[in-house]
Amino acid sequence: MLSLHQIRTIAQFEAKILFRSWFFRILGILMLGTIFFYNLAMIVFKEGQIQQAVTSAIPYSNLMFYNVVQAIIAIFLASDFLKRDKKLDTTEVIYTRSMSNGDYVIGKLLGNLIVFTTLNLIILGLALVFNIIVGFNTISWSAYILYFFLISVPTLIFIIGLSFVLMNIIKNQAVTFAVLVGYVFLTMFYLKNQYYYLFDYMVYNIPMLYSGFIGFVNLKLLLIHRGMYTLLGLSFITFSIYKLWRLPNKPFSNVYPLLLAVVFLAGGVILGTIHVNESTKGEELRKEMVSVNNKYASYNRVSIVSQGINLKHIDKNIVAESSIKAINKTNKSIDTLILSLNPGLIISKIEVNNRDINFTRDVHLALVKLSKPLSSNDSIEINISYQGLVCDEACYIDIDEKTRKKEQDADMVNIGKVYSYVSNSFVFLTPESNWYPTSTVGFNHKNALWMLPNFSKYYLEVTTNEKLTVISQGSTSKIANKTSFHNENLLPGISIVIGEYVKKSYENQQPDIGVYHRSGVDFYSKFFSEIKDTAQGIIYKAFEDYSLKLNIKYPFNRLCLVEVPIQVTSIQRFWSNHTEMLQPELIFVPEGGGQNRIFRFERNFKNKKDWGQSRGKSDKELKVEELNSFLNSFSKKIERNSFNFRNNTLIEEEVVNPFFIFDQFYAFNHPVESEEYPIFNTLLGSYYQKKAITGKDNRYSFGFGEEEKAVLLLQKKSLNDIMLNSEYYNLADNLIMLKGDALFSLLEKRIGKAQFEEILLELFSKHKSQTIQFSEFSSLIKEKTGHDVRTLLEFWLKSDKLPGFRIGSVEAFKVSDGERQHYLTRAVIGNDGDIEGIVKIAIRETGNDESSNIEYKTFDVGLNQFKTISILTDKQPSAVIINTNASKNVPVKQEISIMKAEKNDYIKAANEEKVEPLNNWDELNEIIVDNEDSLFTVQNISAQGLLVKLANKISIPGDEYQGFLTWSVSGKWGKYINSTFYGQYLHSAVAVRSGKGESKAFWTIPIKEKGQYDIYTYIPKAKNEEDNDYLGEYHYTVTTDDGVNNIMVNGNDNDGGWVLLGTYYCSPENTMVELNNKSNARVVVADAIKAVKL
Amino acid sequence: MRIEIQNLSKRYPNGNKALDSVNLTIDSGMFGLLGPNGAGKSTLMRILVTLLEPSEGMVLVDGLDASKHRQEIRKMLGYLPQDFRFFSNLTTFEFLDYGARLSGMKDSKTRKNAVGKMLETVGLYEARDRKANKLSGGMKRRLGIAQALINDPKIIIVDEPTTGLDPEERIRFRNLLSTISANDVIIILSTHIVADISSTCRNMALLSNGKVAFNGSPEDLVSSSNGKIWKMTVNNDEMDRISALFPITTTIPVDEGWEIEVVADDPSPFKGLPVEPNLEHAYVYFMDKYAQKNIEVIIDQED
Repeated sequence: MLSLHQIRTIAQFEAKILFRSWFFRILGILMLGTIFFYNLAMIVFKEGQIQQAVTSAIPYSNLMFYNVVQAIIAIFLASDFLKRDKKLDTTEVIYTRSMSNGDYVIGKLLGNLIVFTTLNLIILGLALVFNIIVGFNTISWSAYILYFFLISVPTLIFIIGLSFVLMNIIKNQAVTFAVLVGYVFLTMFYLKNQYYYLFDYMVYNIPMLYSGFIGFVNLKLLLIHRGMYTLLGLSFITFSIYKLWRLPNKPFSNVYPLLLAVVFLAGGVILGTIHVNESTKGEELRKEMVSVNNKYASYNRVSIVSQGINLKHIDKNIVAESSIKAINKTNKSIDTLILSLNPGLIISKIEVNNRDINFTRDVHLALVKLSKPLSSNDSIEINISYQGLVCDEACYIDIDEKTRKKEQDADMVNIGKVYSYVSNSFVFLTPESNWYPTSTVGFNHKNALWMLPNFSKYYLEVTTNEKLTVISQGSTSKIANKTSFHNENLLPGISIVIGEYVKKSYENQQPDIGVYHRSGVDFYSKFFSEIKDTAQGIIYKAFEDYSLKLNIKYPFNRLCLVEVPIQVTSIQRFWSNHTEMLQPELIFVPEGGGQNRIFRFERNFKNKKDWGQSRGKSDKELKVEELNSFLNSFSKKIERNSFNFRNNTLIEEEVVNPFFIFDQFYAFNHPVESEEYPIFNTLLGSYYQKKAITGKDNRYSFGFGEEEKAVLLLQKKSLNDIMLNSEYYNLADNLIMLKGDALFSLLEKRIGKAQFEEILLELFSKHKSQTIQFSEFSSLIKEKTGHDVRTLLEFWLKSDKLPGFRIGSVEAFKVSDGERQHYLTRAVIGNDGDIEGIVKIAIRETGNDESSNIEYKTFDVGLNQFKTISILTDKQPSAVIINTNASKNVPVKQEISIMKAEKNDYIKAANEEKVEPLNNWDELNEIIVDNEDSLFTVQNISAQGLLVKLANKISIPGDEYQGFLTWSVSGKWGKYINSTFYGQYLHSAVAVRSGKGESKAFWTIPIKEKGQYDIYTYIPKAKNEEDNDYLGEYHYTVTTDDGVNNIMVNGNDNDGGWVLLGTYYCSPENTMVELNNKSNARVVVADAIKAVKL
Repeated sequence: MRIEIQNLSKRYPNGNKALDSVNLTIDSGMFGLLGPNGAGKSTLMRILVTLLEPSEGMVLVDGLDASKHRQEIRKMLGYLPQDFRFFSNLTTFEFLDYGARLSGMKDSKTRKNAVGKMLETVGLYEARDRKANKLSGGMKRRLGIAQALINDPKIIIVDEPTTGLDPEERIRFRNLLSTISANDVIIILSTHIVADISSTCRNMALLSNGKVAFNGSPEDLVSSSNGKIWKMTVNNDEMDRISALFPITTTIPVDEGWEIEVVADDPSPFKGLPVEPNLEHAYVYFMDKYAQKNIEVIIDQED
């Protein structure tokens, strides 16, 4: 029998001994100090956006931090206690006392728990202090309690139990310690979220951010997971009672702990099984949904004209009735009606034309066999009653599991994801969750029709708790607990948010622009209070400017930012310019602004104040600036580039801006619908949105981002192929953007900008908030201009042909038109690719740096033509940025510095384009061997490329390249992209870290005719560049008929470009240039060699 | 109180037979367990304190089977192992208090008094707030005996308690044990220092190679070696020869060479004067004879 007295005694003394241990004290103090400074940085210095936005992130990140240290201390101490006990006869003194083995081990465990619990509480206390700094009203007490019981307790019990048991089995502290620490790191850095977080014993990866709106996404799953580890821990502990190296008080009393260990183990295994089942359920459901969709993909669908939804929100359930008016727009009659509804919602009744009708349900689809087929253009009325729990797993069935599993996290904080949510106090439903019936089968592999939106008229009436605010599209009226929404416009779908909200908006102006924020927590007013009076003017001006730039009128009467739980997220789809975070009239913003930098008002303000050009401006001016850059950020599709190192390769990825507002004007308004080309609408959108990019283009790139990858991919595959292969999806949006922009820019060039815009405007105003059929679009173009969009589109989609641009001289002059002085920048651009194309050119003016606004002008360059482009500016140009768009050129953007602008009175001061035919860009007597050619080889090549290829079954073209960042260049030759590198179109080179000359690169020159040749090497160097890491002494060996000559070239001593290595007598099969990596520069670049016959 | 040890054997997994059919009866009072290192004393002790399970045979404590009623036996035990150290992070008082609490003293006031008194008894009261690493060897021993006695044990088992103690400490320690043995308790004292036993124990056993070589009173042991101890003076040459023949217990250098005491039934061809044996002589004589299996083993069968 267990004795409480004995357990307490052992626990107290164990705790006392632990507290007094130096190992514990030192680690404890170190950890507390680290956590203190971490909090200081995150909260006081406002580095941690997530901690400011959702304050439960403070205790959460603190405990995450603590958990790692705790695991290591606990492992050490737990394994130490058995060792300590075993070695000294002290234990024998204790072991001969009359307590039972159970008393002893439990006492020891409790002693450990007391110590770590105390530390836990200190950490939570520390978190609380910092939480108060953010604001007392932001403290979530329940988060503190839940974190303690869900993170700390199970982790401790498990790790101590595991240490006990391993120590008992391995019987060597050092080995046990090593094994356990290995296990900890394995779960932290390797297993991570694999196997549904099954191995994440210390919840290092499981999302556990506690939202102020909804708390945890799924408390039940968390409890199961944590319960599993608690039981496993208890099982280990009871097992170590059984295994304890001490004879039990009674001969067979050992049976009880063993039995208990088995029971706990069984419990743990059962919970683990439940966890896995719960976690895999979604994937299976989605597979099932897709296969059902495939089955019914070819069925003709009705078009829903209007839908009235009467929805009651009861706890976690919704109970709804939907009245649908639909029409058969196809030219065939429809005998089976297909309706789609979230699989968690149970349909109780379907009426067709007010008569009850039988239906069958296949997962999410409801199939209604009509008594009389619906003929073409006939209408039908359908009433559907349904209720239940909306299943979140049924969202985004088209997205691959890998993308779905991608974590949403910030530093130590795992946020978690939810796409839809219904609880008794909060509802978040967008069309993605299919919370009301639609008439289309969703994602399938048979056709792409599901991409097309169905525009209908929506009416909504919601009954919920009177205290809650209901937010949806349309004009609102609220009577008691009933809120009604009425829409004038046709909409592609509606969404509904219910919660405790406060609305702030400018109701005196149209549209009604405002914010719904969680009641009690307002994270922006204080910051902007100083410019409260001017804010309205600034906001409406920015809004109207954007509308003007797009040349599209905002179609709705209101536009609101709606704060939603931090876990609410969306997945970007390549064929759409918006995510679910953008709904007609509404923009969903994660709690407190989430991680998004644009909501870091205070921090941005402080940065502006301390750094950059704005220094010296008044607080008020800076706040106006901050408001303006906040408003500007809604006009950017890509928020920024992120840089990561994976497999030693620098990877640039685009971070999509979920708040990109464009489709409020465009896709929600009057999309062009094409069953033939479902992507058409997005392509046209690309052209539109590029026109309206405002503000600065401050995305930093090392030369090889998603656009470059996309362009390389496009050289191998057609747009159509790319869209059909999900492996390429993350590049598909870049391609659509590039291709769409190029396609319509070219059309605009052919037709004339004014006329093209006029046609579009005419079309749009004719179909206000209605879909436009592609056929109407194309026939209007044909009628007005004679151009056939359909042929053009067909070619663009299916062809892998691309223009290839050659950039010639770029120079600038001072010119005058009589009295005024201007600057004229002249650039020569040729196209010797496959087809005609467009380039965009912007001039950076002196005094402006990379963060200034730049404006691109579009130019078309015909095939085998070259254009001399002159652009006038008022200020002296410092650089020309040439964007080659969808072409063979990589990188996509080149920035060429202009060092001087000499006065020239003979050049006309005018914007001009001069076209000349292009025969041969390269001289005929030149032989160039570039690093891309087969005659170029290297010794000691990087094997990563191969490994990466083996790891990914489908290797995406271009994966072997990376942006050129000298400190990331490794000791083996690797391929890099940079605009300064030589290349016909692909500006690449190979580079290696300098060394003793052991790495070599070879160019074999294919001399055809014996004779004297000048041999050059290409030294990549930007015009304004000096003292770069890769500029220095390069050692070349030139082998020709003249023998072997060693030549040193120092990149610092010349202007770069083609540098002469000497004149040699060369004959075929005998001419070679070698470069080794011996250099005083950090990095050696091998690019191209040129031989010119004299 | 009586401990009966019946046919007790212990084989370790490596095949070592540490105890071989040991039969002993121990009654109240002090009982000495003598034997050279490796004779099986520690194994026997560890079986008695329920740390080890015998391979065969049994131990009865007042008729209770020790391997079935470990909890009851443990309640009666006070144990001081040979190499006693204690947690360096606890003070003298705390450690003793720990022991007291583990032996079931629940009331903190009573316990505090008892612990204080015990510290006083062993002369450690002044050092009650000192930590283990600040105690001298003797103090540690005394703390060890204090923890063994704190629960008023009926059976006290002390393993090599006087090793490393200075003479004064040793005497004080023996006296303390003698005082306690006046009550109805069994004190088993395992030692290889003969003087520990001669001065305190009324009964004793001699262990050799896992077997009981002698069981009886120290006096019996001494008398069995009567007339077997010889004193003589020898030169260096003779010294070499005699030491190869007989065990020598005392060697004192003198002008002629050495004055020695020899253990032998008959020391010829050397001549010596018989000496009155003491326990140490007897122990040497006995161990020598037992090793040669020349004499009949005297076993005090259950009387």
